[in-house]
Amino acid sequence: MEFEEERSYTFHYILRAVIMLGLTFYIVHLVKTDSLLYYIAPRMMIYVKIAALLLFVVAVYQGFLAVKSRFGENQEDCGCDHVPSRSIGVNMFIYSLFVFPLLLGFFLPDTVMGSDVASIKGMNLSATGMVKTAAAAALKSDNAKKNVSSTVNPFSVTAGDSALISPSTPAADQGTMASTGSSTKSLGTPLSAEDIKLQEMFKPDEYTEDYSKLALKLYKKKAPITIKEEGFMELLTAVDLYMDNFVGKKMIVSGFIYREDDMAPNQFVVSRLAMQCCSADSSPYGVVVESNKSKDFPKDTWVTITGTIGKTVYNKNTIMKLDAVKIEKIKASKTPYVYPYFDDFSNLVK
Amino acid sequence: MRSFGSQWGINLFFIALMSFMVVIFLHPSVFSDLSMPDLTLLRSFKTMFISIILEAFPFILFGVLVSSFLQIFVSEKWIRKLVPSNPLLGILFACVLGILFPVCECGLIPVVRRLIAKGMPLYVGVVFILVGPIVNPIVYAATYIAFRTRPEMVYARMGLALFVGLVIGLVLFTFVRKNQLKTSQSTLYSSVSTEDGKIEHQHKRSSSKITQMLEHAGSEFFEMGKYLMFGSIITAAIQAFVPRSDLVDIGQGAITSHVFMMGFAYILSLCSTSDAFVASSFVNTFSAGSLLTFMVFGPMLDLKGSLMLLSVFKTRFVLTLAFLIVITVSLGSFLIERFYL
Repeated sequence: MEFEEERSYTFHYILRAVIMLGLTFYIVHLVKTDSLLYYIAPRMMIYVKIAALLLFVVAVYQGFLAVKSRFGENQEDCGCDHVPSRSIGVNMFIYSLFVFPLLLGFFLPDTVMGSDVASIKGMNLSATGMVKTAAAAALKSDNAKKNVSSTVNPFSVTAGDSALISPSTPAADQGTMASTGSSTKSLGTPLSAEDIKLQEMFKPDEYTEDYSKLALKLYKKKAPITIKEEGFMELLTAVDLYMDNFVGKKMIVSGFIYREDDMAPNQFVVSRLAMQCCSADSSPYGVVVESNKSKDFPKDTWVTITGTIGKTVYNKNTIMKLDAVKIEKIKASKTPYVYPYFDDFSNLVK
Repeated sequence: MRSFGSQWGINLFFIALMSFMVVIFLHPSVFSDLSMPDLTLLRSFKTMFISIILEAFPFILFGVLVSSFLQIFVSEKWIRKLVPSNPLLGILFACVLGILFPVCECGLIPVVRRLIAKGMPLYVGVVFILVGPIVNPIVYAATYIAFRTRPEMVYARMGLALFVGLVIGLVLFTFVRKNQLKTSQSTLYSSVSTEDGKIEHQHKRSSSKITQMLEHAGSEFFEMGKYLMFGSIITAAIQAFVPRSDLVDIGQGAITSHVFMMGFAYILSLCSTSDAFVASSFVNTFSAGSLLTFMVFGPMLDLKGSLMLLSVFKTRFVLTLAFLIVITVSLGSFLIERFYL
């Protein structure tokens, strides 16, 4: 019996050591092949690497214990017996839970997630949801407080237009604009009529100051608005928030092609998956594109679209769309995801 | 005979596993060259599953190492001294512990199990498990970024978490007296405190405390990790196979949206550092109050976490705790929605 006990300990220690080493090697393999990016956001990677190191240390010690318990003294004196079950079946099941990720990891290729995941997670076509909601909610806050159900109704607060300046106003009367503008904003330097007009067009409310500054910068630039990988969601949000001002401007955006079942044949979405920490929390964000050549581009094709910003109604919501001028096939992005931008937004537009 | 047979089984299993590892280690490309059938869904499952466990590894390792450290180096006496004996102060103490230990529940549960076994009052430990994953600087920053334009969501989240912790802590203090740990204290904590408070651990052969710590960490990694793995498999399956839009259609309306968001948070089992980001993608379709429910309920009780809780506490206690969390979070969230958001 004594012998069996020893063997049982040895077996557990060896198996644990092997599994932990396997997990360590898997993480090292992911790092070496640059495929950790498929699973974890860059800012989390350092922790995963440290974890691999710790796993390795613990694994080596488990291996050492295996040798010790095989050839060393009796272990029975150790009061902290963590071997939970003597049943082979239960043990096999528990250890196979740990082997399972290794099998998956090494047998299935790493894949860039695309349309299939986007359709499961649900495409976000209006990046500005929260901003508009906030603005609208602020205007309606009194009503909302009196009547809870009105804020619960999903579409009662999405009519963001109430917070936006209608596109016809800037052109209407420059004189009144100038007077209201200069009285509210006294920045020391005299403002040109143009600046005042712009400030009026991109008037922030208390929630959207960062975005309005970004949008103003984008608007002033003569070149087409490029939605880069860095700050993808933030740039898209800024344009979307002041959508009416940007109608008619050119935009360049890259991503994979995604389609909903109820979209018109000439419509598709150019989308990117945005990740916070890991793939499980990623959400797809995208822009609707309209093009006659839509059918030449199957789903999950990576493209760069140059298009003119317009508006369309989809699922009862007014959203931004691009009328494609040029569609260019590209190679899939090296980084499969886009990440939230933590720095000052003004660095996004040079 | 049985043992002879099982020895063989073990050996074969082990040999197979070992050779598998060797092959992988020498030729990682062997497997990617295999022509796999196009299993897109399985692939998304893989991506979800691997990403969930990779994200959890640092936290769970940190958790088991801290737990092992406590086991070996910290005396019961010291912990009893550290935790205020006044229940209110004790609960407040637990609430702010999260600021010092900014870890998700995967990391906290092993630590708290050890702390309770070492004499931390149950209500203090539980409040730490509930509030710690929310009221800490990392989650504060993440929520702030996700709701950049609505800072009141951040305050509401922190406030509600503290409120729930306070209420549940007081309830537990008043009504629960018995030991609720699953494993008896003697097996969990085998050190003997001698008169002068010195620790005398019973590993006779172990040479140094550091190696004892590593031994504990190894065992505990598997003990806690099995629940994590199992929970992650289910979570990844739901994430990969169940369309969100189907779910979202169920959960509209003043009260159902709160109920739905609790269930949603439960099955998604996101880390508290990233759930605010997911919540913010639902702003168009759900009320601020129900998103608050999502962000407070999720870190306190989710599929992955409740499996881990079941490994630590008695089943009855976990069920009671779950019930308390559901009631307090929904009540609190309702009140905040009505008067603050």
